Amino acid sequence: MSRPALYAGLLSALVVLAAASLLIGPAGLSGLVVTEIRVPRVVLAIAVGASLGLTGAALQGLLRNPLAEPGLIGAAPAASFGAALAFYFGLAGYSPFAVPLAAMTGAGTAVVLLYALAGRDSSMLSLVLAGVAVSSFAGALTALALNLAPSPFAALEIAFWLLGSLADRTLTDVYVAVPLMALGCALVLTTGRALDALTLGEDAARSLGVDLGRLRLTLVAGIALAVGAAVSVSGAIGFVGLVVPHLLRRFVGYQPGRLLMPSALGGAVLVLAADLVVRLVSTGIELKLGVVTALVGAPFFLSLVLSTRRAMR
Amino acid sequence: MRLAAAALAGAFLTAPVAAAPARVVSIHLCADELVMALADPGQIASLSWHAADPAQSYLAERAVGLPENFGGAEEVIALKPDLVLAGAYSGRETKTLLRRLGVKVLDLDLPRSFADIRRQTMAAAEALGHPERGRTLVAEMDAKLAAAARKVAGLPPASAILYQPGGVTMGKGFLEDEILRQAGLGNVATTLGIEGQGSVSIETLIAARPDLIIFGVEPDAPPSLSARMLSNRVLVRATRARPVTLPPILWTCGAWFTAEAVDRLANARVALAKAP
Repeated sequence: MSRPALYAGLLSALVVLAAASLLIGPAGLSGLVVTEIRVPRVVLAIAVGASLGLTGAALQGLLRNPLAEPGLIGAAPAASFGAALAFYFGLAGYSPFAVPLAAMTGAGTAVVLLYALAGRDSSMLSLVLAGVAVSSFAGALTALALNLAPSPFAALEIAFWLLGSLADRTLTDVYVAVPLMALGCALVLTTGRALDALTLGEDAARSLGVDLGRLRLTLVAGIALAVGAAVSVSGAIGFVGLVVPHLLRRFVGYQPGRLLMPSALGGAVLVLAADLVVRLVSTGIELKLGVVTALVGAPFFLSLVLSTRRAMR
Repeated sequence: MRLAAAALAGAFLTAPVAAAPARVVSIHLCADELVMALADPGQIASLSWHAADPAQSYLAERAVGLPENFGGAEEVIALKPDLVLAGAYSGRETKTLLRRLGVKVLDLDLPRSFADIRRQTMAAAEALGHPERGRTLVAEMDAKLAAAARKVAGLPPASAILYQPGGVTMGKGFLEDEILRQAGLGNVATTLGIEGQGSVSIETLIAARPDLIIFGVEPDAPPSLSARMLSNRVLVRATRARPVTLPPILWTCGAWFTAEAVDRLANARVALAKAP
């Protein structure tokens, strides 16, 4: 598939899905319902999906490992922990900004920690290891908050929020989170050329004039912003950052730089589609978006791995 | 002129504080129960999907046949409600969104005492346009509480613990603590320093030697590993405590019927005094 064809396909899928998402729902088509209930949902699905797809592709390029995903550097789990704390201390009740701000503080702290652990000049390996450490630490803290929750209802609220959803978000969530996601994505998108050079190896990239320390800093900051803001409105939505770059890699000649933009679009399409599925199949209690992406994503990923193995034989 | 003034004054006197809402939607189990008890059936546009579940809802049989909802904002808006009743710790985004859309939302907090229950019942009754029904419900509850207090009056202090699957118990500051106190029982969880929700291991419980262990399980709850811990005979034998079961339906949503939990525990307290 040529590049224009790929973009055209992704964009038209995005437009069709967004239109369907705006038109379908139990409350009919009154103006207020569309602008206040469905528009925030569609905008956030696109922004969250694009952030997850893009950051997944960038991390896979940076680490030259197809298993990398945004959760790996600890930003997503730390953002979840921040949000859990906002619920735990009841801050979420005071202001609609409390949960997003707490989640982004969590993501930011994770990045600072990551840099303290694996500084500017260390290897990619120590970056991954530090990320895993931050990630498990944040996971443990979230579990601790659940463990010590002041009441069974509070614990349930945190647990359900962590499952990931875009249901009933408001325009306030859009105003708070989307600019930060956009800023993060813009930072990540500047790294395309350096990521392409990196496919030749770190030394070759350095000789081509790529400042690896700066590349890492830009990417980690961008990913923290994008993923932190995404998690802060949606909770954890798994598998998008892992699957989307895999699906699209073959269409861009396996070049990580050229994979970035299609992955952002693909992520948006995937999350929008998953959210539409959630709304259409849920006749009763609404399924959680994060549950559905993982439920559909995991078997799909497995089949992808199996077919790749068959092709390599 | 004087007649007109009198008619005007009369109109002011008889006019309700606010017009009773014609379409009420509840999106939380605890609110469902209050709505069913306080509103006219014709006022109820929809109740939460738990309302008709006899394992969870105290007035389940009254909810049968009423439209149910799953608490989504679009679903609620489609019902064109005048008033939405919601509960603490759930549907946070939905409540924010509904308020943005100009829907009146009454948020019921988790009651931590019988005083909270009185306040909440009256708030719901006034919002639903039937304050007199609220007063009746509160009076019913207070009569039941007073009757329970008479049963245990003069009995020496006894200790008890509410023991739920997983060793979960409730201490100081929670409704469960006051339920025990009103039934003439000292809460072992509170003595052990637990504030709010906590857990007590079987060994700690045995060492604390309560007179009464109140098992907080539904009689026909689905089996679970943590519920098995409760059927531990060692527990009852080692503590020589008297076992009582108290279905969570009576107190999970603190409401007027929680007085029944106090009454049952007061009876258990009296039986304990009579036992050799």
